[in-house]
Amino acid sequence: MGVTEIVFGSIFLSLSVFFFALTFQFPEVTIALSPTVFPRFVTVSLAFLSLVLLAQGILKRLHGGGEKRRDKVDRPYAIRFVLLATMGFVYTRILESTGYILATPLFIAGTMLVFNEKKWHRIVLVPILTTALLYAVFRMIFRVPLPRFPLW
Amino acid sequence: MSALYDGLAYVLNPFHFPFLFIGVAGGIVVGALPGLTGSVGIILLLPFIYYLEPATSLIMLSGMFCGAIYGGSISAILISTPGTPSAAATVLDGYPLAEKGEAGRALGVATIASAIGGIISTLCMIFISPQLAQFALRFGPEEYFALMVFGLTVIASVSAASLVKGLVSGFSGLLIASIGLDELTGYARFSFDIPDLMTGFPMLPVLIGLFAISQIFIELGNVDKELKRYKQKIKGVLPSRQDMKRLIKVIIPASFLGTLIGIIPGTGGAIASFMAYNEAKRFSKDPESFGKGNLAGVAAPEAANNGTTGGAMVPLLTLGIPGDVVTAVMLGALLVIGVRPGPLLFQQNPQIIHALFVGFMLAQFLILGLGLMSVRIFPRVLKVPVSILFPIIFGLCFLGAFSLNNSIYDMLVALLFGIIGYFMRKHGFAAAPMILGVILGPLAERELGKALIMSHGNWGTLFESPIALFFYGISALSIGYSILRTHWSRK
Repeated sequence: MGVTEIVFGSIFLSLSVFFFALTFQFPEVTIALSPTVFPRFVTVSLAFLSLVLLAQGILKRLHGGGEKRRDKVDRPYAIRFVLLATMGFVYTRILESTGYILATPLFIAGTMLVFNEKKWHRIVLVPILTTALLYAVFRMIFRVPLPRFPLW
Repeated sequence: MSALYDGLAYVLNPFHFPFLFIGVAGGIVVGALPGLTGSVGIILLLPFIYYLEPATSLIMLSGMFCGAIYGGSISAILISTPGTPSAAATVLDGYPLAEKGEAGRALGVATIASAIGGIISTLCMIFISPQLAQFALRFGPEEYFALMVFGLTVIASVSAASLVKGLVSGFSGLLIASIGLDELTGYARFSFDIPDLMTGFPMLPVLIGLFAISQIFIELGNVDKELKRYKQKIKGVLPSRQDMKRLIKVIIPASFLGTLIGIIPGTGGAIASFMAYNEAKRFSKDPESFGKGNLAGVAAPEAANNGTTGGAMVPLLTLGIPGDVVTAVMLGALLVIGVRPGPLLFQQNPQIIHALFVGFMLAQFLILGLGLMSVRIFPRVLKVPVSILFPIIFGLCFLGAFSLNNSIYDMLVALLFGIIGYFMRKHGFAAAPMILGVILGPLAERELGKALIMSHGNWGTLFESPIALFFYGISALSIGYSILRTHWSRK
């Protein structure tokens, strides 16, 4: 009870204090609007709201003192989440070296596996057809310079 | 009138009309699929519309907006799962009708009511917008700043269950918006000497991440869950003349109610549809039949939620402030394609506005035609497996993020905000307030800067205009109402 509020309240409070401190490095401008005004207003407001959130969380914990409700972490879901996020990151890293046509079908096929797709013909066909369609639209019609395999 | 003819000629041009058609058809599919909303649909369109003419982009976006609001009713009726929040009230009587084997009738009435609601709201938009835009031409930076402050109070209204969490999310958006070059001084704020950060976070990847990629992560939770299936045969789509005679008395007032609610910033389709449902029940001779499969219980919310579409466009087009989440995303989309909504748009680019008016109207007829003709296909649309749909969307999200600046960094930004958005949404922090902060923050700061330059740094100038004071007043009322609403909902 109230853990979310305490955790997020602390994170946002730290962020707002950090960014507020950084505004002292900005140059002060006397004409019109200084670049410090808007960020300081935002960080102070955010710090205040984070404190309210934190207080809400502490109050919830105090009122629900005896209650021991702990959300269980759904392990398979957490693994899928980490896998998907990692695959997204790896995709962005390898895209330039492998090119769009090679990296994208692999990425889509991997994502399908994470989404528990079991039919192999779908795992083969959907990524190839999707990549071909997106390539045709973006590369050939819109002329977007999609990354290419360096040897092509 | 001749300007509207020009708009009609533009939209019916064979090079432009297909984009409206794709927008509406895509919107219906997106709206029908639980997990995808109009906002996500608009974001997925962005990479495509970036390469089109602004007017064509705008009619495609409008088609997506209207189609998605209507599409939400399909899954609401067939499988008791509203495709969009606006269709939540449609479930109440739509699903009981489907259970009785009358899904065809319910879908037919929903389609006709949606189209009539959309037509009435489009007419209101066509008549009201130019007058309001004419009035808004008097606005200077002080009034615009006050208007942006009012726009930001919408954050409180779209804050879902917790007002504090919504405000935290909104102010985080404002903080994100302050990263990068300060327009007045050219100083790169919070850039940590990282070249990519000097221009701030690009808006399109942020939108893609917060709305679309975070949704993909959320959908991972539905991997092994099967959606309900509608197995009965769909027949008898067109309602009888007697039914229509009875229902039109519900549809017309609900359409006007939806339009009015749509015009008020911070409301949206969900509120309109529940209000219309309650009114239809209150004025019905047979209120007990509501909730058990009364066609009026489908017609009223559908007319109202599609009624909000034209209404919500009024403040967006004339003042440049979004009325709800979808129009906030729409505002972001317009800024990305280089269209700045506001009264000057009516003066400088009237052809865009007229094409939009006509496109919006034709979208309603497309909804009517496509809806009635493809009723039997709808159950198949709902069968698209999650394991195919979301991987394709993930690929499209990355491509969309890349295509605007041809930048891998933008793809990383989209992924980063997808992860941030996922954790925030999972813990009750709505993504919409953050988006509002990201979009409206720079606009508010720009107008404030202009006002202060013109007044030689006199802050008092912000409170001298009666129009600005009016906007501050309604901003205070809006926040007060949100606080009271949160208080009442706890009771």
